[in-house]
Amino acid sequence: MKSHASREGAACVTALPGDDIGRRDEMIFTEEERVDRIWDKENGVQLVNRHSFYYTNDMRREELDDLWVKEPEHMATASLAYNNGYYVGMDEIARHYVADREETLYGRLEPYCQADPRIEKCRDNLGLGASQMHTSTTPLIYIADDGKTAQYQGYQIGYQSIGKADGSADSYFEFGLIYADLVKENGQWKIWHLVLEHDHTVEAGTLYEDVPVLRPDSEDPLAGDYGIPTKQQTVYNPFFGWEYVYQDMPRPYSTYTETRSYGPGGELGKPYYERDKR
Amino acid sequence: MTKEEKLSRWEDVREIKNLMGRMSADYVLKKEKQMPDRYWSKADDVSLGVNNGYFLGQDGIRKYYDGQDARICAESAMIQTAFPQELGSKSKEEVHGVGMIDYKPIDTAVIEVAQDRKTAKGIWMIRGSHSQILTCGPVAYWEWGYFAADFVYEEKEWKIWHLLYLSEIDHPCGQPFTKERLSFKGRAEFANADKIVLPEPDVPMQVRETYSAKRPFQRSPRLPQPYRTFTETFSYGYEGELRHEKPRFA
Repeated sequence: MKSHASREGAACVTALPGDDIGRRDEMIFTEEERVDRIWDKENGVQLVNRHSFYYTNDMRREELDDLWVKEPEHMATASLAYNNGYYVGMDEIARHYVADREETLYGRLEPYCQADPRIEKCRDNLGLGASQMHTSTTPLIYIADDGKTAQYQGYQIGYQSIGKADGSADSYFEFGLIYADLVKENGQWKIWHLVLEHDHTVEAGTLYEDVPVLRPDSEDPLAGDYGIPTKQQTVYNPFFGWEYVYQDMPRPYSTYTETRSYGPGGELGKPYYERDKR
Repeated sequence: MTKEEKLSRWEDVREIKNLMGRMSADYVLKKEKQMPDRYWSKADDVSLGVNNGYFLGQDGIRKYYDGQDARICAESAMIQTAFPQELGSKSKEEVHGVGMIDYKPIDTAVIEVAQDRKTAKGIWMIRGSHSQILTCGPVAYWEWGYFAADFVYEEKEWKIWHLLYLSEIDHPCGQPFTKERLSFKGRAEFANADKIVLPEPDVPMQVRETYSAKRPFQRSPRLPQPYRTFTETFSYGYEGELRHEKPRFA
């Protein structure tokens, strides 16, 4: 049974070049489709939320196994991005997200072991003296009209505290945005492209007025987390980032296109004046 | 599943979010006294796990919230004393919660409703701030932590059955998380702050150690997974602790 025309996206912002908002007048979903799309939105948001918990818990291998794409063509094109570029393909993502991270954690454990020989340098002790939480909040999500993909944007507000053997720690509040392309595999949403944009860092206990107004990303105390991506390019420049957030917001769309994606073939991070030239 | 069943389950998720949203707002309004009746199940085996132990059963839940309310009343009285011109003529009801903040915005929700729709599970991250009166006066704290709950459908409403309310960071604002808490000069009108004693849990135990640079890494409580009926999943309640389900960590 056909239903009323969907109002999805009816309150959408002004169209940008490449948008296909005109099709809105023609979108008719059945009641079953509309119910499915309601659930798809809820489950898409909760998938990104699950990512935030795995990320917080440093369960990175488990995250890739449980939440990310499994189909070969998606695995080959999957990406994880930070401000400085994209890790492309699940092997590259795992190399950074799991292996590099483990190396970092072993490096942080070393001074503890040196200070106290009773502390073993082993996997069970990784994260000693550390704490972190990475929330995902204020979600914005659209499901493609064909129901096969979804685009997500949210804030990523959190903190990291990296302990030291002397009992002190470097503690930071961090602020940024999350973008994601989700794709359906066997009826379940999976993470295909994930972008963790880092906007700024504030040392806990530091007055905002004492934080540099223009701090190059390279001097941000958390920039080391980005590593060296497969495809190095500016995905997010904190100096000017908020100018192009508007361009990058998810908006109603018919079907997945690489250009509008949050993967390495997309326009994320391009200033508006470069996009207009396309 | 029929579309009606799917819609009903979606409404369940929405109602559970509303319940937690209302409870969060009640922390701002300092309505702890009303929380047992507003949000909690009438079941005998309700439980509340906080960092230093479990409050069990209806009496335990009331003891916890009554203790919080007594603290709010005592702090309100001290603020009233400190500001006689502004507050001196106000009644106890009028000054209840005056000058306090307790923002517990919750986000990053992961919610699963049982297939039988009799129970549900949810977990949230908390990133808030609250004030507490010490002998120096009000001090503001950053609060980062988790709510993890089992819900039960009871008298046509979702209610909290088991709740874990665990702080990861609960440290004064303006100080590094691991720094020794700064002590400020005492003020006579807040001298009674030291006399406020919160009730002990029915089962005192370390459910979660708050962060320090010497603490092993601690994960969040476990995430809900899809389940058919409650006996097939883990519990966030004290009985889960007794069954060694390791409900607390992912």
